[in-house]
Amino acid sequence: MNKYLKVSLTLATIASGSALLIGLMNLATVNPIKTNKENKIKDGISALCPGYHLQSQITFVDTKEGEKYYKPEYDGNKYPHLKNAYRLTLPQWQVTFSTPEKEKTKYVYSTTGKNAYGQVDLLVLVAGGEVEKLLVVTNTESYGPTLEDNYINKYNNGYLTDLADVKCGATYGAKTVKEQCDDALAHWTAFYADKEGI
Amino acid sequence: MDKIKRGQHKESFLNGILKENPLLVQILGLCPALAVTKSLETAFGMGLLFTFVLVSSNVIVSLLRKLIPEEIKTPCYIVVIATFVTIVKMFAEAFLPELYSSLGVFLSLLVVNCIVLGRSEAFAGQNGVFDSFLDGCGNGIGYTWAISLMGIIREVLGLGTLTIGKVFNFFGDPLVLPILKSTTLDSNGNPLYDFSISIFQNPAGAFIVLGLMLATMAAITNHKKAVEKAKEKAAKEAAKAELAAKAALAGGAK
Amino acid sequence: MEMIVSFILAIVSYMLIDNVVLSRFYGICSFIGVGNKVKSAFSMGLAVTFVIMMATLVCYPLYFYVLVPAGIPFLDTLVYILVIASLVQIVGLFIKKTSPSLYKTLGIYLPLITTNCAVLGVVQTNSDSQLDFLTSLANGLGTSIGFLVVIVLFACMRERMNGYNIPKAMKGVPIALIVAALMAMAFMGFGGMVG
Repeated sequence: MNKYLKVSLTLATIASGSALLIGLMNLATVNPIKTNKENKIKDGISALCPGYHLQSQITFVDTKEGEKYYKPEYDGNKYPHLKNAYRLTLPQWQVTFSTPEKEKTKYVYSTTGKNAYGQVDLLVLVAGGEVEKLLVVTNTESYGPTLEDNYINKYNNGYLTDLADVKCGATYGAKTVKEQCDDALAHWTAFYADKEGI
Repeated sequence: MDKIKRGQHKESFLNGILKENPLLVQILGLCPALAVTKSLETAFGMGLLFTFVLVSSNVIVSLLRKLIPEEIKTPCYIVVIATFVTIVKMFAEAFLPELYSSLGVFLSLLVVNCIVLGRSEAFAGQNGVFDSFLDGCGNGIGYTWAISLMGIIREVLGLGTLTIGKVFNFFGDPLVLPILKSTTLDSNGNPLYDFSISIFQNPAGAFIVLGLMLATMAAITNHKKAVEKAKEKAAKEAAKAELAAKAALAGGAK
Repeated sequence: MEMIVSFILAIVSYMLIDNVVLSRFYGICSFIGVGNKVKSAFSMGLAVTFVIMMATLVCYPLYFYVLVPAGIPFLDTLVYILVIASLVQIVGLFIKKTSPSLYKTLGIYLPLITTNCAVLGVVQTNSDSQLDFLTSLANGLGTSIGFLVVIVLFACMRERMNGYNIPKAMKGVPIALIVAALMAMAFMGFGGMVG
């Protein structure tokens, strides 16, 4: 009995010591990790539309009941993939008479979605009633680069004309990307389209 | 197993680097070597984090080796290793986010890496702290150079370029060396020259590169052995000839 | 109905398209080490299947109903590896008591499985990618069947290779890796099967 006690005591001591160490490390790194994630979104937005200024931000809040609402008008669970929306404008001195209406204000949606392999988070740039560009923020699929090479980059460079549900390698990625873009477009059409004069 | 005597510190360090290289000679730790060597920088980063885990778990295991009862040796080692792996994971997520996202789950899988567990069982569990530290450093450096070499081969052949400073982005813009693929574009938007073979970025390419590297290492070892054998043989024959000559001399003198 | 279809599709894609050994690189050590005899490869594959399914079933509720509510999801790796190690021990003891003949075929491979990355890899990706329970099960099932299929195929090829005259330096692991590369290329053909 004594032997078992010694064995279990040793194991318990080592395990609790390691748990303590990990907990301390977690305290030290939790803030840098958070700022990293925020920075990634910020960098992504400025990479999507360089030269624009952030005007305002809408947060689609996750309530505890699993429903989503957002500030302008409560709309239930209509846009399940949306996280945040950012309204970006050109600085006033850059706006001239020749600037088209849709160039003056752009909207970036931060979206999230899942497929069988993992999670795909995107930044979707919507301007003038169409998805102009996409940017992958996180992608926990094992075939990550396949999605970007076969789909996202092709779309951004204009090789794909619409966001069809294409097969890209072994992923369901295209489907979730399409759903996220559809949500962003639907929200844009419902709330901002008339303001932009389309 | 291999208990180190006093005054052999140098050997416990140098063994891991070339003579008993964990990847190329002992053929251990294949999973990360195949999975994270798409580019030089991820491979090198993995090597660095791996070295840290190996050294610190070696030191702690060696410190605790007299306190841990024989029956629960392996679980205790695993807990120690898992602790350091989690710490490294958090560190990478906080301060090297690019590296963290490109390594993915393979950072967690360091817990079940054969090299780390093997060095704890075979070396650190039996030897002093200083020797275990040196052993960890040696094996870590050996593994790092081996997978970095693999990373260079796969990146240059598969992508055609060699990028430095993208993952460790502390010095501004990354440097892209055009080796097999030009970085300047012609009027159609295609690179000026492109000799890259994309299969080397795929899993199949990883297997091929590692197989050929192991074969090269085996060929070198075989060659060395053959040379040594030939030398021994020559020395024996020379000794024989000398004896014969002496005998002949002695015979002549009679 | 749609759920069943997506479950089956997920199993197929985890098994063939995103094969555990040939494209995700889990469990290479046992793949190379054990995969030279068909019989032992089959036993190893079965043992891995068993442990992966058990580990998935235990670790999924542990992560989502214990670690996350307690606010310590960062302890996941530590908990998983302890669970897997003790599971392997318990399963070994259980099989030894109930069916000695099964123990004879599986028993010697059980300790090897603790350090098989496939088990920890599956469990860790389940929680890292926040998969739901059904997809986690599909991941476990697809991964383990994929492992079984590939390791048995590989062992068949290596058994056939015994009689051939291979360059001295390529003997053993190097040629095995080249064979694995050819298999990986063949499995790349499955890409795009499930859209």
